Parts: sequence; C-alpha cells; structure tokens
Amino acid sequence: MSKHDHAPALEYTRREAITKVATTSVAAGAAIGLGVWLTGRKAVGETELETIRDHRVQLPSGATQMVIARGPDATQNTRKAIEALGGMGVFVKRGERVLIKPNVGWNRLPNQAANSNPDVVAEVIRHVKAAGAVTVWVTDVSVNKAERCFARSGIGDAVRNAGAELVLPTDSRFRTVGVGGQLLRVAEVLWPFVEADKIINIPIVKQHGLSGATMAMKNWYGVVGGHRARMHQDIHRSIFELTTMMKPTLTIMDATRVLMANGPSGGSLDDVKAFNTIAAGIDEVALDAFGCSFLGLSASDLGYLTLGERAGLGTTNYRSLKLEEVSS
Amino acid sequence: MKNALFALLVAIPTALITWIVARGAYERPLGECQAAAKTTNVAPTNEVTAKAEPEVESDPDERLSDFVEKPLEGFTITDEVVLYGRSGLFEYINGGAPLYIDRNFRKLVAAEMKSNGGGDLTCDIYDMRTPSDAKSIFDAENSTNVTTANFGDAARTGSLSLVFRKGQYYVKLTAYDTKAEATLPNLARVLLTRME
Repeated sequence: MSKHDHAPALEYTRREAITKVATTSVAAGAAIGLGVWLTGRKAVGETELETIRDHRVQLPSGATQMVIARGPDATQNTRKAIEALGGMGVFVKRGERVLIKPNVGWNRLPNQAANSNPDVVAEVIRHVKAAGAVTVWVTDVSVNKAERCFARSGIGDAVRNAGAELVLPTDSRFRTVGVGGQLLRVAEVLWPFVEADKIINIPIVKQHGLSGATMAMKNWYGVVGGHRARMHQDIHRSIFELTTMMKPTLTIMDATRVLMANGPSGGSLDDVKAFNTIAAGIDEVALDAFGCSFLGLSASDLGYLTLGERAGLGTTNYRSLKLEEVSS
Repeated sequence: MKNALFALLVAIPTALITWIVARGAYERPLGECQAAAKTTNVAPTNEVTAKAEPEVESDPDERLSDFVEKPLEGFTITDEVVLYGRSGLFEYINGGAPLYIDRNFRKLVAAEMKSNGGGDLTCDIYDMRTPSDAKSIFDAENSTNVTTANFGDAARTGSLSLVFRKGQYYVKLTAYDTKAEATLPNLARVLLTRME
C-alpha cells in the first residue's frame, strides 16, 4: 500500500505555506481584536456605572467614637447620643444635602418593632436641619408597599412634621452603581444615595431568620432595588459587600424596642422587648457587635461581622473605642 | 482569492467566539441586575407573579385566592390581593422566605383588610403543600408568652396576632389596633369554614 492510498497529499510550496500561515495569523489577530472591541462597546441604552462617595468624616482628636444612651424616652436618648458625639455639627455642614436611612421595610406599627422608631428619625432630622443642611431626604427601599410602610410605621408623619423630604422608591429612581464585590458587582441604588453629601444610617436592632440579626450593616439592603432573592443566597457576603459600598457619615442605632423572634417582619407584640437604648457612632461593625447583646448573640455568630472586621471596616471589640455611656 | 476566503473562514468564527466569551465573562452580571431591577420595584401583582412562575396547577391557586377574595362578612379588602410564589415570597417577607421555602412552601395569598367595625389587619395564608409542612412552619415560628387557642389543627394568639394551621394551610392574621385585634377570631372562623 502506498502512502498516497489513504489521503490526498498536502503539497504546498514553501512560499504557499508561509503565505497561508501569515494570512491565518493576521486574520485570527484581527478577529480577536474585533471581538475585544465589540465587547468594549456600549450597548444602546446601557448606562454608565456610578459610584457612591465616601461620606465619612474625621472625628476631632480625642473625640468620643461611640455612645450608648439609655432612658425611657427615645427622643431624649437620641439627643443625648448626638450631643455626646460632639453635636450634629461635627457630621453635617451648612448647605449640605443629607440623606437619612431608617429601616422602613415593613407594614408594621412602631410597637411591633420591625421598623426604626419614628421619634428617633424625627429627632435626627431636627438636629440635621439645625446643623444647616439645605435638604434632608428620608428614604428606604421598603420590602412591603412603601406608601403603606411609611404610613403604618409613623415615619412618614415624622418626616413631614420635622420638615424633611420623603423619597419613595419608584422604578425610575434607581441608578446603576458599581459595588465591586465578588457577589454583587453592580447594584440598582435609589438616587439620593448617589446624590447626598452626607448619609446617616438609622437601623433598628431585630432578630432575622436568615442572617441572625439585622442592625446597621444589614440596613443597607434597603438601598438596593432589584431582585433581593439573589442577595439572600449568600446573605453574609452580600451584607458585607453592601457595607463596603456604603460609607455613612454617622450611624444611630435604635434599640428602643427589639424584635426578639420571628424577624425580620414579626407582627406579634409578644416577640418585642423594650431596651430603651440608642447607640451611635461611626463604626458600624462596633455598633452591630454591641447590638448582638440584645439578641443573646455574640459578634462571632454573625458571618458578616467577621467579614467586615477582617476587611478593616471596623472592630467587633467596641469597648476598644472611646466609648461613652449616658442616661437620660 | 483562495487565501482571502480562508482568512474569512478563520476570522468570522474567531471574532464571534472571542466576543461571546468576553461578553459572558465581563457583562453578564450587569445584564442580570438590570433585568431583575425592572421586575422588582413594582408592587407585586397576580399578573407579575404568574409571569415569573408559569402556573401548572390553577385550581390550588384559585382555591387559595378564594379564601380571601370571596366576600368576607364583617371585613372589606382594602388593597389588591396578591399571590406570591416561591421567588416572589422574597418580595413580601424578604429574609423570612427561606424558612418557608425550606418547608415545601407553594404559594401565599396576602390581603389587607379593614374590619367593618374599624381597624386594619393583614391576612396571610401560606399553602405549604402538606399538613406536616404546615405544622413544621407553625412550630418554627413559635413565640414566647403566646396563648394556645382553639382554631383549626392548632392555633395561638398573642398581642395583635392570631396564627393557626389547618391541613396544608398556615394562616397569620396581624392586627394594627385593638379594634381589629378583637375581630381576628371571627375572621379565623370564616376562613376555617372555607378550608373545610
């Protein structure tokens, strides 16, 4: 059997072979270049990614870093906490646009303790306005119908009576923001979070069926629109990644009434316990670590606190901060 | 000519493959997020839920909706009655959803009502597929200081709250004032009659 019996011979001259290899290389190179160029092009209607700025302020040297205020009146506790931190003027300057973010996720009454206390929200608004803010927005991307949540929680009235502007989440009010996390690369964020000069977080402490607890860091779920189910697939990482995106000016944590079970929505007053406490500061990890004590948890029980501390977002050892405890 | 044809045959698939690979690696997360955002920020409705989860069984859904959509003596529906499926449940109870989904949850019908004597309340009826799954979620959501009550297969009452299970259904009634709280047993009785 000759060697020509099975296949036709590939008979190229040296010149043809060189031409063929060169042509193929140029074509492949051009094609890869074209592919990369096509990838880099923006699709029609695709929006630019925005960023959320760093809203933190430098505290004066030797200033109190965290305050725990206890007493029967939530308004007084809030006032004492702000004063102990040096007053709202440390955080808000004249002419700034300030966003206040309470937890208003649920169609629940204040005493059902699923939403932040309206008296706390109102007192913070008053201090922000007194500090000279030109605009004060209050918003949350509620889980239940937003109008109903703001009405039932008493926060809608508190906002109006204290002279702030309520921003309800609607479809057209979201911006695409880069998160840069492993799980969340981008997020649809309600516009005031992008526009504000300063952001004040007002979470409530409560038990949460999936994450263990919802406090300061978890409150950033209420920044984001879109399908939250995806974020719940790895809740600790998504809480951590949202916290890295949000760098609030101040956090005032409401533990006036704490939902001890069946969170995050609760409903029965039997699940609520009064602690009459407000904690405030600039370290969300520290505040959450303190908040664990109301729920019989330790900081190590919450994966997102471990992630946050490891990434340098704060310390779970809140007593290592310059801490002040006041009573009203 | 032959060379040019050969170059085209190499170039077109290579460009296509490069584009698909690169796009898949860098742009898919953005696309997913944008698409998801469009479906979420709208108050959920039956229509939206139905689009997200095509229905195979229509009768169980009708039965579930009928519990609250048929006129209830002494109560008025004050907002749209909403039927939530497994993924939609996150839009209603957020981080509470996995507790239900892990227990074979099928659908939830949620209704806002006003008792005719005044007072708002929420009625949530979860179809857990089987009585044992309904029992499982009923037991999982136990509270301290509640009182056992005599409704359905098991029930408990607390301040502003009445919770019971009947067969595959787990029912949570939440009042927003004492007037509405006083009417929760009446509503429970009407619903139980419909669940027989």
